[in-house]
Amino acid sequence: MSKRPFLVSCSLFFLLLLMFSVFSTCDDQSTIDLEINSSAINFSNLKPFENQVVTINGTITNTGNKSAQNAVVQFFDNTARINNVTLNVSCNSTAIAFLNWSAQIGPNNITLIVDPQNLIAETNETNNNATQNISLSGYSWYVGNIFTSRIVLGLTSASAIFNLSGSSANVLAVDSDSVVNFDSLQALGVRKSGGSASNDFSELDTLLGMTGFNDSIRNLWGIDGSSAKQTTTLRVGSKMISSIPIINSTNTSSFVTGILWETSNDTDGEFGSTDKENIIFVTSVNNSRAGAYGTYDYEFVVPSLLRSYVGTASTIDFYMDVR
Amino acid sequence: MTKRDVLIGLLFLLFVVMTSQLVSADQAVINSQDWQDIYSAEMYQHTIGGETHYIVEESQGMDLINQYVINPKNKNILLIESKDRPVIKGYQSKLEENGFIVEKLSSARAKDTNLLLAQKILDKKDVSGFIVVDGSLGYSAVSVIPYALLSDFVVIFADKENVDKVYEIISKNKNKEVILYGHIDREVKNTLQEFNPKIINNADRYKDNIEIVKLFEEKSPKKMVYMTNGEFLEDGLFQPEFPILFVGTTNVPPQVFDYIKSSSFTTGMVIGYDLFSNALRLRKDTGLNIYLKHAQGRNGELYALNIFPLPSYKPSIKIEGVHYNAATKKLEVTFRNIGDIYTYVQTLKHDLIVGDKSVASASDEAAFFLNDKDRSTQTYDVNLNDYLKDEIKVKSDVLYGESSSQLTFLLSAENDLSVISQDDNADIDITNVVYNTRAKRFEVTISNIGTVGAFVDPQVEDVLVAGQKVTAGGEMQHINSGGNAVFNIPLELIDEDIKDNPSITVHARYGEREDGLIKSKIAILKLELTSSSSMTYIWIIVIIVILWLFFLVRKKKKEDEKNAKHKPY
Repeated sequence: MSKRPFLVSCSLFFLLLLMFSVFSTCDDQSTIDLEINSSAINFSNLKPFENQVVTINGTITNTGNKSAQNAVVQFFDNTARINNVTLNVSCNSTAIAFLNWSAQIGPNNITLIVDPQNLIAETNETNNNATQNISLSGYSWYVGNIFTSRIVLGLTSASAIFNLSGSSANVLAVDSDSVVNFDSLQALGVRKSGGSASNDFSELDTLLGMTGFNDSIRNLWGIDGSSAKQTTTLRVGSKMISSIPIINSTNTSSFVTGILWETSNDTDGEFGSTDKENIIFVTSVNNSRAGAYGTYDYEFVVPSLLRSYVGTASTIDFYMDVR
Repeated sequence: MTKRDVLIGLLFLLFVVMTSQLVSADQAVINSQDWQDIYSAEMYQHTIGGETHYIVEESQGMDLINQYVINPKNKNILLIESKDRPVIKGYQSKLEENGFIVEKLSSARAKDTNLLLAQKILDKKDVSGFIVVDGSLGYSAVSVIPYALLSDFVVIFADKENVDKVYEIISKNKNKEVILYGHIDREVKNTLQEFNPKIINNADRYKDNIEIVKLFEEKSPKKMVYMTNGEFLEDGLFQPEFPILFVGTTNVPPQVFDYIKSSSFTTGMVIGYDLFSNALRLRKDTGLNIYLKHAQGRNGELYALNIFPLPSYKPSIKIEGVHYNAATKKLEVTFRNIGDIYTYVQTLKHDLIVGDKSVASASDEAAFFLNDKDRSTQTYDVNLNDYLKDEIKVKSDVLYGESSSQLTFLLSAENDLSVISQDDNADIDITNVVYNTRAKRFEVTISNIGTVGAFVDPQVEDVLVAGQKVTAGGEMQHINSGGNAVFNIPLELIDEDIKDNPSITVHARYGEREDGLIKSKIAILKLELTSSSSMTYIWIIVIIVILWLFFLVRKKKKEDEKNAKHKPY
């Protein structure tokens, strides 16, 4: 066997090794390029509930051949800064920035900005931020029984049995800070004296802080900001209220949820930000019907942010209109 | 200006900023088992426009934090805590561990907290005046909430122990209106007299309540009224929008029915699960639209209303026996007071049923008094002699309550009727009534003038105490034929009351059978006074005996001396 091919092979191997070492080893004389894109942002839970802690992780890539030391990564929820994370990213490698975040209702554009103050010299400074969306439903669902069964559980372990057999009822949900005059209710989308009102759905979104939500009032109840997709007539107290905008509370038609407003403090003839009139969500009680979560007497879909419609209390009060 | 002045100025500015942060706390947490702390804090927070959270049970304390009931975005918390009776110990540090900045207001006595918070309101706001209530029960305090918040009144708890402090706070605000609401200690009434107070006291909490509802309506007429029973606090009660009307617990008092019918209310908003049946009855009988506040929602979960029970009037009675006395042709129904407090009782109907058929019925024309742990047999004229071989059931609906005009509780019971045949020949005479000013009790002397022994249970009725009618009872005793007995009936009267009661009505129930006092007698007697007690008599007897022994010894000694002189040597 001739020695020549062996020597050639060895030479090629060392040449390749040399080339690899030249191109793969971090070189203090070389450059850094930190990079992030939206697909590199991930969440530990894609369907969290409000205030549930979700871990956001963003994979930062350094395509340069110099390590980046103490690179700051800023995390934003929409425009609000959540926090910063500092990490090192070796050359030609990746590092993951982790941050725990308390999930918030509605659409959340989670943005990560790498080296926001440009403290690290990079070959490309335009690939340092990326955004990924995670959206939480703006609603809470409440179900309950009224006919001869336990109606409430909870903090004080109280329960009550309302034997309403043969009667009918509505259940109404109101922000706990609202003091509602149940004598003065009108359908949302209808003026105090009757006739169509303008932009009630959009205005309610604004007042609830739900503008821009995929599941805003306007998008769920309205065709547009003013007109309802579907309406019904309900007797509430002694009054027949027509044109109440409704949607199915969940995925069945057994229960619907409608929206009313209180007219007693109104000064301009219709619901809106001028008077910020009280808002009431209403559902009719249906004895032992199957809903999305089982069999019960009522099922409600209520905007979670109704709790902070007025005042600071974080609860919603439920009233029964007994007839 | 020196550097020192600048430094002092900066320190002062820093102090003002820090202080303003403390007092700007618009969330208050109340950690107290005393309802007056919760009430005072709620009134304070609603006056200044803040939010209140109160802890009903220990486990709830951390839920308030962990479930974001206390708004985590607002870090300033006013913690109102009872020194002696907090629900949770060390709650301040729990709040601080969760990042809250806590200003703590703490007193051993809730009445002191009430006055501290009243002063804080006065420091912040020009109020119209003061509503003074007694804090032994919660009814008055609940009744005045909407009017006080609507009209900028500060509600103050006053009794004879803190009346000086109350006087001090009101006297510093002399031009303000003062309302004395409901039952008030005599000392409070007298001390605050110089402020020329308006007095709302009809010796009937429902009438008092209607009076303040009317005052509210004069200022702010409404078609809707809140309805409750005054026996618990719930955050929703603290509002100035609608008056609060008391509707009883299981029975709506007639004066309330009459008022609702005469008012322009069209809607009632009921708070309280126990009031549900009353709410339905009101809807049926008055045509009111009724809404019942029944739950709270948070994060998709339904919770019970956060209700804090108040000290309240809680009587309890039962029907102990139902007999038909064939000898007298009377239905005898024995009631027992099984509660810890007196009550008035009036039967709506005893329905006597054979099979499914009602064969007779009876009722009381007026309410009768039933002392705690006491029993009373009422008799009714019915003739059941045709049904004595049948099984007879008695369905009873009985009202009871704090006075004859406040029968707010309903007892519905079903009993089997037993038949007896027994005459009752007992007879008594109520001979005199004395008030013992030292022992603070009535002493009623009753003689048995019948031919048989008698069990007797007397009471003094409608005694005016601080201007209000009071009935009080004594212990049952047996008196042999021809004998007599003194019955002690404790009731505290002062000279003013004694002047108001020149004569006393004594009502004695009696009979041969201990469990069937089916007879009664009423006597109106001139009130006599005494200050001696049975101990005084015992001391007098002891002294007489000692004196007698002394004279006996002395006499014997003299006789011995005399005998000694005459003894022959």
